[in-house]
Amino acid sequence: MIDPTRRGFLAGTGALTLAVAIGCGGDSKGTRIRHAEASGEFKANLYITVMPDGRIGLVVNKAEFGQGVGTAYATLAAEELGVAVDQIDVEYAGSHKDMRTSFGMQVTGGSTSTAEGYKAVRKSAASAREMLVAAAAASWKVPTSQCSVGGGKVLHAASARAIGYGDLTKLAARESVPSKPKLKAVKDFTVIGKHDRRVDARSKVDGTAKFGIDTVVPNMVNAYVIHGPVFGARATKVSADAARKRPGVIDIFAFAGGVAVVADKYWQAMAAAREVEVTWSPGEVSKLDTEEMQRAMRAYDDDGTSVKDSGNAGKALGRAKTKLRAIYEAPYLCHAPLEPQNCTVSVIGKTAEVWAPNQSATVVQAFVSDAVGIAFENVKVHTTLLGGGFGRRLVADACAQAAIISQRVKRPVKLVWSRESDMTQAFYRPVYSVHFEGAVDDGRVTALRTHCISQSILLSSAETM
Amino acid sequence: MKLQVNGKAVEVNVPADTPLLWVLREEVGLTGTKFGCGKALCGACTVHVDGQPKRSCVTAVGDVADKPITTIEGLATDAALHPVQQAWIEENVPQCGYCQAGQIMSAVVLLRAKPKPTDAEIDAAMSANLCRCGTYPRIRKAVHRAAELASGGSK
Repeated sequence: MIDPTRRGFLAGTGALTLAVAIGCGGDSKGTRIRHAEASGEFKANLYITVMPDGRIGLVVNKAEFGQGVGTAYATLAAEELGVAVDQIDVEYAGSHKDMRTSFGMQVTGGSTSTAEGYKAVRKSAASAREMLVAAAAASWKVPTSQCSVGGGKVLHAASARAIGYGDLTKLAARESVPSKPKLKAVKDFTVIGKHDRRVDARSKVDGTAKFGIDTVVPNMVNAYVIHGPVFGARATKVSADAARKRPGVIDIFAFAGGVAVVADKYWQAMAAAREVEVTWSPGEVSKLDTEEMQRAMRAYDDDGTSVKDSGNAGKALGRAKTKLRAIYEAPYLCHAPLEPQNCTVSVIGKTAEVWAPNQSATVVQAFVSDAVGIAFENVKVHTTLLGGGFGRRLVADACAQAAIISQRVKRPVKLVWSRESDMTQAFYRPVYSVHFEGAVDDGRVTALRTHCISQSILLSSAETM
Repeated sequence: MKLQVNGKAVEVNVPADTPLLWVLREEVGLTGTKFGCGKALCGACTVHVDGQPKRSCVTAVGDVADKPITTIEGLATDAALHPVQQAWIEENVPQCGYCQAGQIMSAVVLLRAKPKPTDAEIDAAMSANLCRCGTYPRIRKAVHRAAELASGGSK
């Protein structure tokens, strides 16, 4: 069943509309002031918070899986705020309805993060900067035009005064959000293009970086899922009498995804799973055959849909002295991120809380919502660090499984897939065949014709959901 | 069962055939050591037992009782990072970072045996630690850098 909310964002994705540059978003002035008075924090907008000690909290509305988006966004924010990158504390956004800035979704993929954030993050930071400057200028009774920023302070050169951001939080909260914050000119950049240290390097060499698989929540139990030997297989008979008697085992049951083995500890679930015997139905797609699919793709001669057509490639190919032709093929491939699929979910009544290494909190909400019949907006997602993404974590099948298990055992559940399941039951990168034809005359390319045959990722994802 | 983890005595109550990896992660609470494959194929779970690299996912905890075990969390001393960790930061090695605890634990043992390893020696010693992001060239640079740091030199 397709939830209308999800149909909405899929339609938006299909339309390939460019995301409208995000506004800063955030609290009303009254809420901002009350928060500052109570906590000393200046929540300038959805993404930037100035702490009373002068450190900057930055919410990165993207997932970090090695591409360095946390460092990139911290660099953008540091540039506009006039602080060192290491003065910024990066936090990765969980699900948030006001942060669906990519095709109506929160999503990380397609090498789009820096392009998307280049102005948006700077705008958020510049907005915070202008409010801090306005607050300092007002307290000094000088025009803002005489003030500048540097080293995490607002400066007034004429009177040699300076005040740290941390001392301005309560005053800045009272300023109005600027409608058009002014971004620094490229020629004035001192951080962008110059900072070359990752913000997460330290935590990733001393063992403190927390990935999805490291999630621990109170009262949590652990689950292992025995997946079928072929795609689409269903468990028809489960013999688990001995396994159920093993220490720590809480429940063993068949469901659409396979057979769940739930125990206090993961090592107990793994050990118990070895003693479970499952009879599988072959399922509808058990006869999928890579070679057969590739043969069919080679034989496919439909013209398909033209995406781009300029000049006259046919004519140029016809008269060229040198013609080249090649077919490139790739089979269905497992993305194989090094961190196995995992997810921690706590389903309580009509709400679910999810901790997941994911590339789209919105997709996680959709999968979990569908799996356990909870309203989309009642699924709250925390995005952890990801041990690799590669597109695999755009699909939240493991989250749906963990939610089903949590709903059944009425405890928070951490599900960790085995590597074997990851390799054999993944959402593979689609099979692909690309036919290239090109012409060269006098050392110049005069024609290029490309014909791609593949499975539509969007359509197949929609089907899955 | 008594374990010695990062210089501390730890008492755990698990069957002797439980993989050391899960004892560290779930019983001792040290999650820096990672699960990647469970078959000693990827190296993400590498720890030191008696100073030697061990794939903790296939090491039965009963076999390492009373032997000194070091994990990524136990590498730094007196709040100073190990030279290999320092070199990893200076050379910007980690991307997603998931494999790096295992990489670092392997590199530390390599440098103990060969304080000035050649590229070939580095590749040979590190080849069983997989990095899905492909940080291998930086790992190699960082091992050389760590060798310099450990010998007190600098570039």
